[in-house]
Amino acid sequence: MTVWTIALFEFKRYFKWKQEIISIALMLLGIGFSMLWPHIKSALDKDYQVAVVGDFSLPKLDGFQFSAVSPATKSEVLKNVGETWHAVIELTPDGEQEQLQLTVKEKASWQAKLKTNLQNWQQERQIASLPLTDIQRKQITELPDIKTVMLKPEKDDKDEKGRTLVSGALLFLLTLGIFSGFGYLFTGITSEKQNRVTEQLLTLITPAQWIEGKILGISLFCFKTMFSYGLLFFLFIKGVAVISDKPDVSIPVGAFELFTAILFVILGLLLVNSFMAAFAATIDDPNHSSRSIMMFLPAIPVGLAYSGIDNAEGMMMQVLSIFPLTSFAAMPLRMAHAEVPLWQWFLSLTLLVACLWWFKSAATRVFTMGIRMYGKEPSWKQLAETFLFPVKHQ
Amino acid sequence: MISIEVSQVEKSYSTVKAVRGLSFTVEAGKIFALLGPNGAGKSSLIRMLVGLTQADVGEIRVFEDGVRMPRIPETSFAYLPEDRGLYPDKSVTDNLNYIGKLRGLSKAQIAEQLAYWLPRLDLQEKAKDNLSKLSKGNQQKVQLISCLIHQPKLLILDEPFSGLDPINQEHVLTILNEMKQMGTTIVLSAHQMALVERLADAMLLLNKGQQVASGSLAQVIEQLSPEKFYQLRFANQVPLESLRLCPAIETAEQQDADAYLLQLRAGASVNQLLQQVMLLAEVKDFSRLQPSLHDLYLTAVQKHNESDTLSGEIA
Repeated sequence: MTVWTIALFEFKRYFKWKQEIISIALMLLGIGFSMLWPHIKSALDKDYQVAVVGDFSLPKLDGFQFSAVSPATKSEVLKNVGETWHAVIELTPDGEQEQLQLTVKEKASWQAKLKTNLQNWQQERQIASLPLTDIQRKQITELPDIKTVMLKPEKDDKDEKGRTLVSGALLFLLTLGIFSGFGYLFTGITSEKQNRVTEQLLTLITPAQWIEGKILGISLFCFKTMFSYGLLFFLFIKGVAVISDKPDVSIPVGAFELFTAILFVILGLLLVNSFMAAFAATIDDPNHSSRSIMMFLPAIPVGLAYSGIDNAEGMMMQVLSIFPLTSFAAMPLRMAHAEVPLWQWFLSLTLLVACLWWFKSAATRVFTMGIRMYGKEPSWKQLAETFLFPVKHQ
Repeated sequence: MISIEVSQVEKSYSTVKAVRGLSFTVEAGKIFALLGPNGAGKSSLIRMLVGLTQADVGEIRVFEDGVRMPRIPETSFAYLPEDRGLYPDKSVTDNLNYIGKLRGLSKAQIAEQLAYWLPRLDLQEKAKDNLSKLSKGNQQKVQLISCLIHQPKLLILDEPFSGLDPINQEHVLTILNEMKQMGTTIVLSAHQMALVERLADAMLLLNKGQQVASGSLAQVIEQLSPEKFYQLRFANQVPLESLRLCPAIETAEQQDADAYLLQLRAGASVNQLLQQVMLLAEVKDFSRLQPSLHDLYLTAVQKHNESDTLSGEIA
């Protein structure tokens, strides 16, 4: 009961409707702006005027306006380079072949895009002029096709895109959840120590009740943040699909994958927040403590899971999805891309629950030691001993 | 009712010995005051009493209705820390609701208590304000309410009058007396000697972690100022030499035409003094000159510091 009272207080301490609405509005504004930005950019970017001297035409290129001019007016056009014209392109003889010549007033960054485009066009022209058969030409210009035989039915392309979207969103939401927990636990506990709130509360509740309530409350808050932003993105993607009349976005996640993701993420948040609550309690002055850096450690599992996602079936991802300090991030990601044997799923879950139980006990010991220290911090040795072994070091 | 026995308690922090071999008893249903300058060891002692720290040496025993308890039951006592002990970013009611719930009160009980205490301490208008917006005195009053809402059997208050104006000091004094009438045992530390004189049934004067004096106000005065001074006004002028010859008088000073300040000789009684001076002249007025606790406190601490320095030098 006391733990839930603390958890509810901690949740409400940071949950404010006004701030929720403002942060959602800001996020929508950010998404809207990022969608509009390419249009704004193209509207703001001027077209570079390029004179094409001679009887040939170039393929269209965004940001460039090609205009054919008569060779008779070439000298007049060259005089106006840097004013009317940004560049002049002409074909000049080079032995038996022709070479493209680009005349500009001076070197500028926009020329790189134009040069690449001209090189491609010239290469295609040169290949076309070679005495090749159609088959030879196709072999040079096109990638060979590889026939793939799959013994299991292939997931269609739309499904694969959906899976990538889901894993990307999951990674983003996990990072969001972890850093929310980091922020609230770090500022919450260090300010409680500085305001001596601890003095009064520790005569009412035990350090174990306090850290349990805190972990529960803050983890609920993190999960709420992840859920609300996840829902927001989902609705946004659906909304865009409806407005742009594009096919509905499929979320290729079944009930079991969704259950796994929620279960592992909740356990992961509890694990990460246990660690952060314990270390926050050992920090005396957040502005000067070298221990603050430890609070970033929980972001590592997400980074590792991200690095392994390219090869969801690989050994590294298998290890990461079973190892209890990384499984909360790696298992849901792996399941979004590949089928996971049920025994691995059970092993991973069992190890994660066992690790959480041990971690919470270790975190409680560190919290108990740190929360009563004023004006000093425990040494690294004291910290390690307290964290690793169930003995008192006070 | 709760009583506490403290026996030979010591506490050190690194190289600093904060409390040195203190022993005393807090009687059930009484108000016990801890007095001493900053750094005397009052807060260290209080933190051991409430269980925030453990004594290095010695024992603290708690009894409820005469039965020894393993420790003070959380729901039976309240602690008011010297520093702020609530959430400055939460409102007065949010803070009190939270503390009330942690103390095991129901919503209805908390509401009932707040409806009583907030108006009584003039905080009704500020109930929705964040604690950080309140003056230090009002924050202190909220702290006090957080200690009273569950009607504790033991109140441990570290500087309860800190930051309060004289009117609110009187309010708190009245409240503490009421709590005492209801059987609550109260331990408090304070600097306001005039208030302590009026409030405490017993006290312990500390300096540098050591006991300087203890007991009731009369006992403390007796310990700190064994010399007894009396002011006498005679019907007519009495020669100073005659007074000095009286066996019950140690010293005599003339204050004005017919008023004298007499120090009673050790071992002599007031009766003897009066009998002897009445032989010299008619006594019109007689009163004992009792030094204030404040003056005694200052003198005692100064003396203790001097003797401590001296013993340190000898050592």
